Amino acid sequence: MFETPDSKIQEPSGDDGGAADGVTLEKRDEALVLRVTGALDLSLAPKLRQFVDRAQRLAPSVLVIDLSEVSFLASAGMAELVRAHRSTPSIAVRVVATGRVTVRPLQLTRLTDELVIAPTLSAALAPA
Amino acid sequence: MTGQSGFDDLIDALRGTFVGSEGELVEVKTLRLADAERRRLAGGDPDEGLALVVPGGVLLDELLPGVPVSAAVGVLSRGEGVLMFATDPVSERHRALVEGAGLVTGPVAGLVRELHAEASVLDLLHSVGRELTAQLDVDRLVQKATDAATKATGAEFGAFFYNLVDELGESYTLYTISGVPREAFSRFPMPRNTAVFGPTFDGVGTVRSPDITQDPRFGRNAPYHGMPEDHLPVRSYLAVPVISPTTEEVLGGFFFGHPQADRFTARHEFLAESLARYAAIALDNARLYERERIFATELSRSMLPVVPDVSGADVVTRYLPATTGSKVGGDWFDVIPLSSGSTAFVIGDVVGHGVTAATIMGQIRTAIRSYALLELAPSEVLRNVSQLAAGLFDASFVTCFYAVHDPGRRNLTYANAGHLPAVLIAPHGEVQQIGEALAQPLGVGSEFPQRMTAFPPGVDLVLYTDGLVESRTRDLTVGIEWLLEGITRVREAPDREAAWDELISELTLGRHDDDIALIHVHRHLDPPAAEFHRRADATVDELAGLRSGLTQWAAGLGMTVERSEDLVLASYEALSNSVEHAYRDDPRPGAVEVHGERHRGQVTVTVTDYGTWKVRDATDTLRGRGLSLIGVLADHTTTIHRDNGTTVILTWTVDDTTEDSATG
Repeated sequence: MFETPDSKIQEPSGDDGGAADGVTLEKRDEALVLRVTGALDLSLAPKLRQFVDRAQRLAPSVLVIDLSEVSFLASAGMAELVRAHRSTPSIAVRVVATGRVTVRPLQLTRLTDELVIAPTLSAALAPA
Repeated sequence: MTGQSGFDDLIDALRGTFVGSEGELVEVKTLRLADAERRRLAGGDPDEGLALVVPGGVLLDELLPGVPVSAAVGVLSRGEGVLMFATDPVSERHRALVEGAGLVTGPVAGLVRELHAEASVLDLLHSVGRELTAQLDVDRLVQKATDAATKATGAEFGAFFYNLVDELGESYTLYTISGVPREAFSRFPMPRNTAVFGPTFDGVGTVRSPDITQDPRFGRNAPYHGMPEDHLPVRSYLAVPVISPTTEEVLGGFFFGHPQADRFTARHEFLAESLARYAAIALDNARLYERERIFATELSRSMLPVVPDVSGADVVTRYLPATTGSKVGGDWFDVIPLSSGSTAFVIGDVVGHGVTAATIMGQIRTAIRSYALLELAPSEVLRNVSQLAAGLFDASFVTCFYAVHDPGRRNLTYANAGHLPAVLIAPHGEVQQIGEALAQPLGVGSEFPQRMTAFPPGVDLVLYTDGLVESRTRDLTVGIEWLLEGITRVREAPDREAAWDELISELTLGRHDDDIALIHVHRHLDPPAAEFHRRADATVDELAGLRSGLTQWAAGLGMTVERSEDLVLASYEALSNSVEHAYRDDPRPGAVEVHGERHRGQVTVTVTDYGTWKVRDATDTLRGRGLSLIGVLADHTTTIHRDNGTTVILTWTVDDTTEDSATG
């Protein structure tokens, strides 16, 4: 019913030397999950936007943006979360954020008031 | 020489021959004979066997000058000789009895000699068997077995070829030699599965030949068609396979040779086979034991932590599994970065060894990690783990030294569950042991009082386990003294890693019977770089590198992890603004500069560009978040719009005591 996610797009992480930064798209029942890895910063934000657009064209009922593997979250990345949340009201967007690295910036900018934040992927996938 | 039963019995019996004219016993005196005297008495080899000799008058005068001897008889055996004599009158009957006994003793001597030889071989078999089966060191085991078997069979020489499997699963053959120097064989290739050797290596059975050179199987295989030139001459030949009692695989073979024909009897065959069975059990045990040792070593190694960088300090760690014996597996160390910016140093020792100790260690280590990450105080960490340990493991106890270094407050808080004291070396060099006998081991104790000590720049802390200082040949306190002396040298050494390797091998004489674990923390005297400066093109691609540089610099500022993350994020947001807005109208991006410094308890990051920030797009409400984020992340923010660009100044206040430069 959905097209298969064609590739795992990876951005060079530049300095971190660890897991490469990137976004992957996968299907979980009626939901689509975008997994973001590495630094969600000015470099990776356009990639996330591209994936959000693609996911929304597939019109799932739920779109989960999983930040569990994100090591750094800048405002450019947060802007994409808000954009995803606001652009298509028919698609419920849920964000998985656990560590301080992601939760704290979301709290400081009060995005926790607006976005639906879940502590785990399974919690995000649970029926609302 | 201990008394042999035949000898002593004979002496007892002879005592009864010294009778007076009424048949009453006469007092008998005895004289132990020296070797030369025995030789004189025997009139030849005194070790021929049991013998009775009635010495002549001349000899008696020599042996017992001036003693009025009425009757005397000498009893000789191997390595022993006694002259029995009386001074009171002795009847003729005595002489008759002794003569009779002499007649019998002749043939008996030979019999007794044989029985003695037999008994000593059985003794040997028994004691060697016991020793072998208790032996876990393969090299010593096989040598002992070969020596014993060669002796028992009366062979001129013996050899034991055995198969081992290395870590890669490759089988290889080693051998030991007895009776001749190893060089006698070293020029020859390993024996192959020839017609002669085949039955042994295939485990078919024993081969015993009175003269192997006459055997139909002999000489049938190239290249030697017999024995290689210069091979020790062999005619009598005996070979016994050594077969594992558990797996029935052929572990190796015993080979015995003698240059004369017809030397090996059924009895020798029996003895060699018996020893082969003992050797098989022993080899099996040794191989199982070796497997367990390798397993425990691997288990312990696989649980070793990755030692994180500790800001402002050098950390040297070692884990050396026991090189000998079965004591591998109980020791561990750990270095745990805590989110408060502190670092926990852990060293411990599970009493017991092998796989069990290694697995208990793994669980205890994880438990300590978990409580450590909750940032519990040292006494609480140990109290919780102790409760856990008491419930989990029967009758095990675990010693552990737990210390937390807070770089902000420049102190070390520690508790000690029955472990050896730690060594603290003050910056000026004074050596001190801390935490001695503070509490009982984990699983035993319930209260773990904690202590605090200053931990300024230039200080050293050494945590270790007893394998470093304890040895079979040296008292623990002596070992600790040596260690304390050695630590001072390590501390001064330009390369502490190498210096530790040297000290460890010095303390253990290169052979440690127990595990060794070790942590050495040295706090830098030099303050971490207080300044950071970078200039780069204002492009997205440069941002990652700038962020990484800032992250490293911030880690050395003595701020909490959370505060340094804030610093990096705020600086990144300011840099992003320059990248996105400053040079929007320029065909080529200009430069952006970031400068960080710490001064008098304040950390300042300045981001400067040389473009014109476009007025924010009123519709872009999302992008305004960067500036508001900066506002909440930094303690104070100033933005200066200059004619030729924009400067953003971010400041954070840090605890003044963390400023190492105050003393450094």
